[in-house]
Formats: sequence, C-alpha cells, structure tokens
Amino acid sequence: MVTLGSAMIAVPMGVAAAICLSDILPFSIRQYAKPVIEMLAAIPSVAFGFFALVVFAPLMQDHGGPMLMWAWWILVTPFLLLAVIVISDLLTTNIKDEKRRKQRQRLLMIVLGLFSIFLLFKVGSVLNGIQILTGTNALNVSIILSFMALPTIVSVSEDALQAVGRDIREGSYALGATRAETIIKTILPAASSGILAAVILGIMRALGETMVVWMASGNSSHIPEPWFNYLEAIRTLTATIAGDMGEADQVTGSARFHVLFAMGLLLLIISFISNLVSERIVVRQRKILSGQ
Amino acid sequence: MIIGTRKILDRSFTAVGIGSIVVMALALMTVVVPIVYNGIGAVFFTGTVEHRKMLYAEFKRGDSQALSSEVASSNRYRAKVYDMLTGFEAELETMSPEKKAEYQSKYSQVRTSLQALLGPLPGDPEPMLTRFKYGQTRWEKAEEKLHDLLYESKWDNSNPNVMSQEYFVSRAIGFEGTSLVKLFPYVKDNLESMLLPEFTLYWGFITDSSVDSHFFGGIWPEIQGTFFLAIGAMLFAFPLGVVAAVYFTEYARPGFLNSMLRSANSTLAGVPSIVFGMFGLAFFINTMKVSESKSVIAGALTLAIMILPTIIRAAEEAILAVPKTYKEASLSLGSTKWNTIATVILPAALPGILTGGVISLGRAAGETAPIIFTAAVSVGSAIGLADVFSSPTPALSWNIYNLASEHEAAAQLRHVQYGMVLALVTVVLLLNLSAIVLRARISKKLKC
Repeated sequence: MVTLGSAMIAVPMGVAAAICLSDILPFSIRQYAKPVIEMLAAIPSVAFGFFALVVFAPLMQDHGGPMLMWAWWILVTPFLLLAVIVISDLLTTNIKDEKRRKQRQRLLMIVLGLFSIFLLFKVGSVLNGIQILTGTNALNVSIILSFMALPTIVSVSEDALQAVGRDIREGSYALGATRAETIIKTILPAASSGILAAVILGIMRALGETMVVWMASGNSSHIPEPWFNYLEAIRTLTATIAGDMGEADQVTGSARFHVLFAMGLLLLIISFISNLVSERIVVRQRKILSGQ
Repeated sequence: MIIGTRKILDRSFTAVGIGSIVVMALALMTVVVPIVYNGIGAVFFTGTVEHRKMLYAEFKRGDSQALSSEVASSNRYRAKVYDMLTGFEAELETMSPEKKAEYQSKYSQVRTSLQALLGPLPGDPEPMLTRFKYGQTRWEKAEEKLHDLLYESKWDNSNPNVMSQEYFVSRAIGFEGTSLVKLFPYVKDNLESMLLPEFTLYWGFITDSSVDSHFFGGIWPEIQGTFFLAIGAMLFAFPLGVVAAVYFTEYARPGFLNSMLRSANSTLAGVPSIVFGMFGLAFFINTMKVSESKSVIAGALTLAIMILPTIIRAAEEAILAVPKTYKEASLSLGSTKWNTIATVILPAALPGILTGGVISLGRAAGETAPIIFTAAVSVGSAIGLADVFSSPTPALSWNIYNLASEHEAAAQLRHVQYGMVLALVTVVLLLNLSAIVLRARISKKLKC
C-alpha cells in the first residue's frame, strides 16, 4: 500500500524532473541540480524516518485537514486552469469563423472556469474538515518514501532519455513541434523502456525500506477500512521482520523465526523478479536502439 | 489545436519540470534544516547550574571554586522555596482530615514538579537513577517545567463531536488561602537566580559517554561504533570488490556462468537491507558462529556484503573508463597481463574506484537494518579495539531509532536525538560531498 502510494507521488515527479534535467535545463544549472539529487539519495533512511516521526507526524496530526486542503489547491489549480483552456480550445476547433470561434471559446472558458472553481472549493472544504487521528499513518510514509525513491528514478530515467539521441529530437523539431510535444510524443515513447526500468528500481527501493516504515507507519497490523484509507496506521513486511526478530531469535527453530524468514524470502523473491524484469527491459531497449 | 494553446502547453510543461526539481530541493531543505538547527542545540545551548554540577560530579570537569560559589548563590534563593514547603507541610498537619486529603494530592504534584525543576529537595532520599539527582540542565526545558509547575492541564471532553481539548488551570487557585500560594509567583520571578542559566558550549556531547541512558553525557560510543562498523565493512568489501571488478572486466569470458554472476551482482544491489540483516544473523552468527551472539565483526561482515555490489559496479565502470590505448601500449612494451593491470590500469582507475568506495562507506555508516540483529546494542560504553570480535557496540543509526521510538523518555531527550541525527547526516553528507568533488576533479582531468 505504501509502495503504491509512494509510486503515485514519485513517478510523475521523478520523470518530470528527469525530463527537465536532460532536456530543459541549461548545462550550468544541471551541474548544480545533480548534486542536490545525489544528496537526497545519500541521506540515511533513519534520518528520514526520524523526520517523519518527529516533525511530519505531529504536523499531520495537528493540522492535517488544512494541510490536505492546501495540497489539493496547490496541486490541482494549475491543472484545472490548463484543462479549462485546452478543453475550450478542443471543443471550438471546428468553427470556421474567427470571431465567433473566439467568442465561443471565451464563453466555454468562463463556464468551465466557474465549474472548476466550484469543484475546488467543494472538495477543499471537505478536506479541511478531515481530522487525521494519528500522524503516523500510510500517507506520511508514502510521502517520505517517494522522496527516497526519487533520486533513483531521476538518475536512471535521465540516462534513458539521454540515450535516445539527437536525431529523433531534431527530426521532431524540424516538423514544427513545440518542445513539450517533442518530448511527450517522440522521446518519451522511445525511452519508455528505460523509464520503466527506472520506475521498477525506484519501487524496489521503496518496497525494501525498513526504518522509515518502522518508525512512522504506526505498526498496526490490521487492514484499514476501507482498504484504500491512507490515513490509518499500517504495518509492512519489512517492519514486521525488524520488530519481531529480536524475540524470535531466542528460540531458534520456533515457528515465529521461520515465519519471519518466510517473509524475508518473499521480499527477496519480489526484488529478484523485479530486478530481472528491469534488466531485461534495459537490454531490450539497448538492442532496439542500436539495431536502429 | 491552435498555436496559442500549444505554446501555453509547452510553457506549462517546462514549468512542471522545473517545479519538480524545486520541490525536490525544498524537500531536501525541509529535512535537513530542522535537523541542523535542532542538532546544533545539543552542543550550543543555554545550560543551568544543574548542568555544571552534573559535569563536575560525573565527568570531573569544571572549576570547583566557581561552581561552589554559584551553588551557594542559587541556594540562597532556593532556601526560601524549601522553607515555604516545610511551612506548608506543618500547616497540612493542622488541617482536618478531609481538607488534608484534598490538599495532599495537589501538594504532591507540586513537589514532583519542583523536584524535576530543581533536583532532590532536602529530606528526600538519595535517588537511585542519575537522572533524578539533578534538576533541569537546559534552560528551555526548565521553562517548560516551570509551566508544568504553574499550571495544571485538564481535558475538556464536553463536545462529543471533536477530540478533547487541553486547557490549563493555574495551580495557585487550588491553594487559595494557604501559605503555599506565595510559592508560585516566587518561583516564577526567581527561577533565573535559582538556576543561573548561561550560554554553554558542550563539546563533551561528541566525546563523552552517555550517563544513565542518554539523559546526560554524550554520544561518543555511538560515533565510535559507527566508525568501527563502517571501516570494518570497507576492510572486507573493498579488496573483494576491486578483485571481482578486475575479474569481470579483464578475465571473464561471455558465457552462462559469467552472465549468471553478473545477474547475481545486480540483483544483490537491489535486495532490501533487512534481508541482509536476517542473512547476517542466520549465517554469520547462527551457522558460522563468528561470535557467540551479536558482535562488531558480524555486523561488519553483513555490511560488507551489502555494499559489495556497489563497489563492484563502481570499480567496473572506473576500469572500463580507462582508455584502451593505455592497455595496448603497456602490452606492446612486453608487459604481462597481470602486470599491466596492476601497474597501469588500476592506478588510472583508482580515482573512480575511490569515489565508489567513499559513497559505499557513507551508505554503510548510515544503514540500520543490517546491524539490528548482528551488532547493535542500545546502551553501552565505547568498546576497545580488542573487543571487536566478541562484543556488540552502540551505533548512531540504531540508537537514533531506539532513542526516538523505544526509549521510555523519548519526548524529553529530543535534543540528544537531534544531535545524533545531525552527527550521522554530517558524516554521510561529508563523505558524499568529497566523492562528488573527487568525481568533478576526475572529469576535469579526463577532459584535458
């Protein structure tokens, strides 16, 4: 559950950051941005776990509702703005007369704009009313884990984007595409297997993380109701192993010992399979690119 | 789509990209800044006379004459407080039994807060634990305890729809009409003279052992433990890793076995760290019996296995980056293969290998999960070099977890926790910074 949550946050941000690094930023700024990302990767997981437990959890517990509301507003407003413009444009493309077209477009923009403002405020007030009962919950862990998985995703997908090569980019620009369209429609599909490999590696990091979840997830071994309720405390495989092994080892050969080792075996198998898959993807991508 | 919309989409795409990098930088700052700010508070803080008393009694540090004059001057103010307490106790005896019972519980609360603030009151038995032998050593904690003394916290459960709210009631109201009501304003006005706060620079935080489970003292055993574990791990992993990288690049022929080995290497790089810890427990301690129970050597071996794939990968890349012309020139001059590797290729690849080694050292220092079962204890003194094979050691990473989650007084020891986190983050970030600088210097050299 936390892996999924952290992936939802980390993947879009990581891919966007990688694209920015490889294509958009000038070289001089890239020299400074890369160390920042490497620093984020270097911070030990206990430091992140400590931050999640001592700073983030009380913040969520005391100001949870308003925090969610602000996050909703900050994240969604630009997208709604863009969506209003794009939808109003798409719906009026067929009208031939220029003036009428612009009138229609403005009308549509106003209507959609009012609707989106209404949506913003309604959902915002619902979120404001939510009282987060415990700061150590799945949402807390998801956010922190996404920041831990980000550097991996960014560096590996940046490599994949760089490997695509200049000729594809130049061809797309020559045909009149803007930079965004070039990236979304030609480069991302070309590098998609590399980016998929990067995402798998990042998710593997989030999956295997022990200390952050042990400290900040609440360690409550029951399935939240409903199952997608991120505001309840949960427990992961890794934290269970770390927490229970101390007692289990005293009686070597006990059932608990073997159960914990079975959990470890499961983790090992999952990481082994995902690693194999990501390696296959990278090898296949290299073959495709060099074959072309 | 008209061109205007496409331009807007393009600009917003750029904004999203730059925005995500800004968010990452902000996240880094948000995590690092509180740690640095609060961690420095473990070394630089406003300490009270209790702190100096503790330093003198436990660590034999400080000027005893200045200390005794300070204690004398603070005792002049405390004497009044003690007199008020004894006066009130006498008054209690003269009251009727119901009134006495009513005041007794409130009085014992006041007494407890005063003990937390000033240390043992005259007439109290000598406390067993060191933490109760002294009052508050830090001025900001003393102010918090003063608030505890002056106000009682109550909970308002009247509204069933919201969580209960805390509110404060002045304790002086509860003692209206008795002699103790003068205690509260007196303590409030004279706390500074009783505790004599002044700016303290406590370097001992880094060099002292901890007294009474981190209540006083420093974190040196943890720092030393982390050093032992990290350097021990490098001692095992670095030679093995470089030799393996040389094998992979120079001697391995493409085939089933070698591709399996390479797969195994890259898989090992992705395994969760807790699995390494379990492996260390089961293999090094239970099966091979490297030591009776936890020990530094078992922990170092486990950490070595964890950082081995990273070292192999970095060394491989460094060796592959050496231009082929070096190797060909050396072979053409008549040198053997092993001589070429040892005298030409490895020295040329050394900066890259060192960079990978330094990053792995940082990772080994910061990891907790492998050492939970194999090497780490919660409290202990710094072990000597000879005990490396048989005894466990406190380590920064494990003790941060332990102090923050499992310690019984975790909320009171926040400054120690922040100090430990700062120490760990400083060590790791310094190592990584030096690796980045090293790499920048190498790429400059390669460009020329």
